[in-house]
Amino acid sequence: MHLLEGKGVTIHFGGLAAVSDVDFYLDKGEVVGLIGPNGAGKTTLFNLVSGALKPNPGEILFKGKKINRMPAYKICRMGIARTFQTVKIFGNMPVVDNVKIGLLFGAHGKIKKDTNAEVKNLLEFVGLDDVANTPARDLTLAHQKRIEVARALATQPEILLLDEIMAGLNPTELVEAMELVKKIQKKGVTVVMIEHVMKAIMGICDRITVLDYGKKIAEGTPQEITTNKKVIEVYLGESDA
Amino acid sequence: MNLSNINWKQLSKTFAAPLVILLALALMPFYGWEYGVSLFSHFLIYIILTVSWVMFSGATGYISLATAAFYGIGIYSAALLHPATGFSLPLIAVIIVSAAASFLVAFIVGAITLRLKGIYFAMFTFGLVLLLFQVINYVETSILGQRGRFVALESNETIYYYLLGIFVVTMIVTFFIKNTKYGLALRSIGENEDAAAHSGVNVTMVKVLIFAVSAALMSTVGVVMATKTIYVDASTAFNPMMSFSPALMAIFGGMANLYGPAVGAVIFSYVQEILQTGNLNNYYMLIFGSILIATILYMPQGLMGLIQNLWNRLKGAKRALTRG
Repeated sequence: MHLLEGKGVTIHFGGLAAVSDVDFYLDKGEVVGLIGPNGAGKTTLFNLVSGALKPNPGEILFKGKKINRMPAYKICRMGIARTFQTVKIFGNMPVVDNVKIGLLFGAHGKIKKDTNAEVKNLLEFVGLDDVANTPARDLTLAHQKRIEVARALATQPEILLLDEIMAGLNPTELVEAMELVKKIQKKGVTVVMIEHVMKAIMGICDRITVLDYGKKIAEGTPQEITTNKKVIEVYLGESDA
Repeated sequence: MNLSNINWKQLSKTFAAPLVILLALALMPFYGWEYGVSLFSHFLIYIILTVSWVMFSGATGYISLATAAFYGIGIYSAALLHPATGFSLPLIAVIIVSAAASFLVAFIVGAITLRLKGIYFAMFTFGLVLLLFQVINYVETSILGQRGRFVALESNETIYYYLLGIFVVTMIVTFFIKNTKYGLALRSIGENEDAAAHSGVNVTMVKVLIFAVSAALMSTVGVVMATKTIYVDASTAFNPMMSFSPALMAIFGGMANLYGPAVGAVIFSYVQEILQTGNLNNYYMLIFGSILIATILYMPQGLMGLIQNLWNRLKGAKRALTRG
């Protein structure tokens, strides 16, 4: 049994099939990349898995249990956490409180020990311990993305969905972000990441899934994807030959 | 709870001033200042309504204009269960029944409407005030054939002590919500509802529950106030001004801490009291509106925000931030 499994997942926005008949799976401990051109349905797929949207038709199973009708907060408490493409932080609250929310509500009783100590650990883990009491809105974009990661990790997830946490980062920040993803994997958390930064995707992922116009067009190791004809066509256009 | 963990020094610092104020207020009727008792009752009404309003709307940013509806439910609870003639429940029982009824109404209305955002929520909640007014008006005039009801009067001192009691309960509830994880959840909902839901917060439940708690508190004020006037009818019970006033007082006072709404309520209700009893009655709304526009334009953080800013400026460079 796979940790997470999607069968024929589909959703329409008006007449447009944003995600169309996509099958996918996740196994424990992997880092999976989700790539595709803009508008391919990557974030929509995250929204479907995390409960922001409901597939119709299609079903999503987490540890064999159907989750596609559950509200977002329940899915989070079961162990699937996410970050957002456009950062959604609690701007007027200090960084610590942003993370505390995840711990108090997401982990929901999974944390028996001291909450404050656990928040401190998480902030150290993502490298934000020195700005713990700063209002979240005052931080740089790179740091705000890390708040989201810390908040998601605070919910004690088994699966973490990272939506473009590396977009808009400078080269130094990019290296740090890649290190962070590797550290998260070492914690035993299964990671799915949407990313346009190919260097990051190729460097970290065990497996890559490619979406285009809502359909899965390829799946495989980074090696297989870079040589896949369909993928090259989608990214570079059809060859004349 | 482990008592040795409580920081008594911190606790006494937090509660010393409120307790002194409370004691001074409790002794009010013994000062021999007849007008003082009714003036402070007037203050307490608006403080309770404003603080309960801020409890939900201040934190979440959902502007509720349903205050008059819950206040009106309180008034009608008193009219039905504590009438001038016939069977009458003790006032405390009426308060409990009314709070429960308001809680239930708010819970149902909240469950239906709290997915509405911004102006739509504000309009729907205001619609609730008008709906209740129309329904009760219709039932009274067309079915019962009797408009309005008579309520058993209570003395000024009794009213004052009931309001003081409700005030203490309101403050305790507010303090409790602010200092537990539910206060944090409520704020996170105000900041970003999606992010809160995806962090495990049962957004709907938290919103509906706190909305209902604040509604219950609002209705208790209605019960007590009904005993001040002999005659109540739908138009006095569901007066739209009771929806606007708490919101405006909160904006004027500032919502960042507990004192802002209370200070706003006291100042505004005092201005109201002087203007409405004098010959400036017609100017009340004019002045009310002008002050409010000035507040929104020039001190968006409210009066307490302004004071905080001045205080920070006085303390000056000594406390400047070391990092950017």
